[in-house]
Amino acid sequence: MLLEAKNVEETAVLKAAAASVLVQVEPVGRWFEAYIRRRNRNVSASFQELEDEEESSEESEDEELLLEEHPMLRTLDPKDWKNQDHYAVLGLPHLRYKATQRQIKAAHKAIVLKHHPDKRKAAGEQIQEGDNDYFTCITKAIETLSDPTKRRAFDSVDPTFDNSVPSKGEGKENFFEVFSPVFERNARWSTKKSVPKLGTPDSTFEEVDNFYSFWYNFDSWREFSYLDEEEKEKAECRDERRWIEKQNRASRAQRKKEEMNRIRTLVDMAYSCDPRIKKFKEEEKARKESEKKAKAEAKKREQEEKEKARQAELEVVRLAKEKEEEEARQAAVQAKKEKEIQKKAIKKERQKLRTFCKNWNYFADTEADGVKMMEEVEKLCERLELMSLQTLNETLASGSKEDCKAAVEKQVEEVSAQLQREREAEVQAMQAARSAEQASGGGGGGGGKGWNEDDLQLLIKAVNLFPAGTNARWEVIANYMNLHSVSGMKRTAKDVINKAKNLQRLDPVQKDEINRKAFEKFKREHTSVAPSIDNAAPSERFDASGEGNPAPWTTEEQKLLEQALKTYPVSTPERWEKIAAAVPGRTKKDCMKRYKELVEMVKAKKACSGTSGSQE
Amino acid sequence: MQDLTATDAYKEFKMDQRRELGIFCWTGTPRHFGRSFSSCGLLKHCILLVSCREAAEAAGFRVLRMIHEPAAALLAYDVGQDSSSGKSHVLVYKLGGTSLSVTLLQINGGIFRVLSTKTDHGIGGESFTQALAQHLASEFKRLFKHDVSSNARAMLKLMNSADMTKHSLSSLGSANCFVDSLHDGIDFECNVSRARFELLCSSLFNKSIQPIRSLLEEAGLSTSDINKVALCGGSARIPRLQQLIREMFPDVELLSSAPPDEVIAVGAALEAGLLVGRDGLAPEAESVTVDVSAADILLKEVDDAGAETFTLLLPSGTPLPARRHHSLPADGQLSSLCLEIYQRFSSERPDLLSKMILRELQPVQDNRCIDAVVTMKRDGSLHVSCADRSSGRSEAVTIAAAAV
Repeated sequence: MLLEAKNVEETAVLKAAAASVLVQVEPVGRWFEAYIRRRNRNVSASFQELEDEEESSEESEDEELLLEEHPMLRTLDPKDWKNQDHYAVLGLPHLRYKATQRQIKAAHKAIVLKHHPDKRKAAGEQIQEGDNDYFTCITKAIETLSDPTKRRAFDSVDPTFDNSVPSKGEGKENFFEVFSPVFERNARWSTKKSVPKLGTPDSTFEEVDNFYSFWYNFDSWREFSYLDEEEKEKAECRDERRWIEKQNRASRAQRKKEEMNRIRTLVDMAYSCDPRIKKFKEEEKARKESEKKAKAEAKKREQEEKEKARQAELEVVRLAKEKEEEEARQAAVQAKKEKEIQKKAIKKERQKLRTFCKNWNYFADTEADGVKMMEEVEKLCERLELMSLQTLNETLASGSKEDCKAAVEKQVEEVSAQLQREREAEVQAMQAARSAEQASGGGGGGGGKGWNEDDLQLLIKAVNLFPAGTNARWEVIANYMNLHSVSGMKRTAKDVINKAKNLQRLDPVQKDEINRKAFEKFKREHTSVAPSIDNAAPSERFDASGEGNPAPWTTEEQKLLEQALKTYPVSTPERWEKIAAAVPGRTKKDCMKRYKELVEMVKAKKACSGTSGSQE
Repeated sequence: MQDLTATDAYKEFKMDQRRELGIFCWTGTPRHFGRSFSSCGLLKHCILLVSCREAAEAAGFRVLRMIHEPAAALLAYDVGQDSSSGKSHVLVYKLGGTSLSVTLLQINGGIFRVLSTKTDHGIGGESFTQALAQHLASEFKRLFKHDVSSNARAMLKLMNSADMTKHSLSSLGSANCFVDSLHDGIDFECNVSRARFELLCSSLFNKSIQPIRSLLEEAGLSTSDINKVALCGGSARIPRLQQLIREMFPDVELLSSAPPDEVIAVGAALEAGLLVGRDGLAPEAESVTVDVSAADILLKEVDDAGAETFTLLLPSGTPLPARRHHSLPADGQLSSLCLEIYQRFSSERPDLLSKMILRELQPVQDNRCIDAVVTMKRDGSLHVSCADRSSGRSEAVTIAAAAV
């Protein structure tokens, strides 16, 4: 029982309800399925209600079902049922493949009510016997359309379906008007229910891509079993049936292939005509190009900046250089001016001194003294600096004749002493130079630069190796020396050229000595390796053979012996006596001994060359 | 290793399936499987409802969905499937060959929800067989002075025989156990009565019943809160066990009509039947979460004695969105009525949410009838509308959901 309301109370909400909570449930049962389905569809009506609604809508459709009577129904040939339009026979030509099973059933019912032979018989019509009546056509139609497999086969070869593929010319002009209906038409063959639409010119790239990938991977349910020429049921034996089956299979596969080709052509055509694809491609191209351009520009800008920086740097350097040059020039001009002034002053002073001296008659009494004094004064003029000239002139101007004379003489003495000193210094320098030259030239090993024998040897070798006319000859020689010298001393081209000239100036004896020393050194260095090679040398061979023999074999004797050995072959009787006779001064015994040695030597040589060959 | 075993088992199953036509059910509970599997397949579609998806797929089955055993068992008994309204608690008691599991489920709006579960791998049908075999061995020793417990071969024979005896005892008062040439060529024959068997296994029975109590305690429910108890697993056939459970739940319906070792498979088959017609069956999460109402929605009323009572309009745990229709009786002489809507969390005092006032009602002879429709959206907001059937006067409120 509900409560009674009090007078003051009003309908009101006092508090919020608790929020829902999420819990895990078991995914079982029809209520769960219904719940999930409802949630996925996002509808609040219960699942049951929804189903009821669907059914009722179907029923309402049935009520509206319009049947169009086949105009030629009565004249149809039952034997030719394969070529009849089953939908038209049932009065559903406007629905065709879209007709539901329910509609087909209803249509069949309606048509049977009207055309059943019993009905017509009752109406007083003439009925043809057996299967010859046109009612058979209706039976065949419902047989075909009520079985999903047969219906699919019939739908696949629906005569009203337009298999055509638009040509390129049409497609290019108004792509969407031409291709949109074609794709919609062909979409009915798709095994997948949701077929992407062709879209509009503004479709995004994803949409277009999706569309073409769908159609390029188109999975069609269309099959051509309806067109089978032979019927399996008609075959009389198993072999024939097999043969028919094989034939049918082949023709079906062929048709299927053609169908796939058709779809493929269609999609290819559309793809090539599609203005959007073109647009996307262009956009892509433009994007790439702009990217490229931007890159190139960035690079260019960078380069320009670099160039600018470099220019600025150069400018700074150039300015600094110019300034320096300017300053130098200024300084030079200044210096020149000063020099000129000084020169003038000195000239003036000299003139003054001369005139003074002249005035005082060169402090001389006799003519000869005067001339001598004049010479001295000229020397003074030449030698003395500006300052000392000035002081001298002042003393001359202020002083008496005696004082002047004393001053001049003093100056003259000083100057001559200076001259003397200079001369001595010069002589000394010359002597030192000579002695140094002597030392460096004659010492061979004790020079200032420390030329030892090896280096001299090396220098001679280098000079011979790089004859006159070689490009930068002395640098090359110096480099060569530095590279090969064992003394580790660095030498410049100047050093080398000096030494070489020195060497050239030396007497040939010294040169010979150097060469001889070099040879000795060479020998000393190479004695440890030499013997094995020397053994093979013919000159050594004589020595070796001669060691045991008091009289070593000379070349002539050797030649004679060889000749004799050739002229008297092994088979010759008394061979060795004859050979000995051919070689003068040698006994038969000597010859035999020598022959044996030679044979051994040859053998040894062969063995040696063999081993060395194998080593190589 | 376990996966491999399961895969092999499925392969075998598939071979069987080829031989037979129609619906094929098979259930097995390999030892140590956390969620043991039961399965069912239709010949062509290969529907499987198993716990071990990888193993089944390796064997070439198409797994439609994974479900829990207790849910499958309830489905087999068609629990909560007839109507979507109402809320109830069900206990599923499963005693298999080697494990015992007790699960408490809540059914609300036809949707199952596991509240809690308890599994004991220490007890099962084999424990009972073992106990019986031990008894037989001691009997043998008493008769022939031979100890067979160390003879593995003899013990195996004895176990097989005990198993058969146990099965017989489920339906008969006493059973004969016979073993040919058990030990030293001696045949062994022994008669075991059901009472004897129950005595032998009394501690085991206690052990098997105990988890029910602890489970209820854990869930905070009493035995009277349970509306149904479903039995499954072969060992649930034991009469003593059924009796014990019945004693524990005196006025509760015990679902044991179907062969308990097939119940789970039957349930799985039913679910497969629901699923197989669907196309575009999306691979769903193993367990799905749904929005449910958090609190009971109540209406305050007075009973005949004049005391205030609460009528449940929408129970807590109802999957949302939900819509419930109630016809509420009222005194025909009253000219105004007040509907007070309350909400109540599990054991707290009810909170007043809203008041709805119907005024200026024409007095009628009999009891007045008020139609109330309660609708709750997924977020928990509540809409209540009520209308007087005779006058058509109506009132509606919308109570927003509190922010979470």
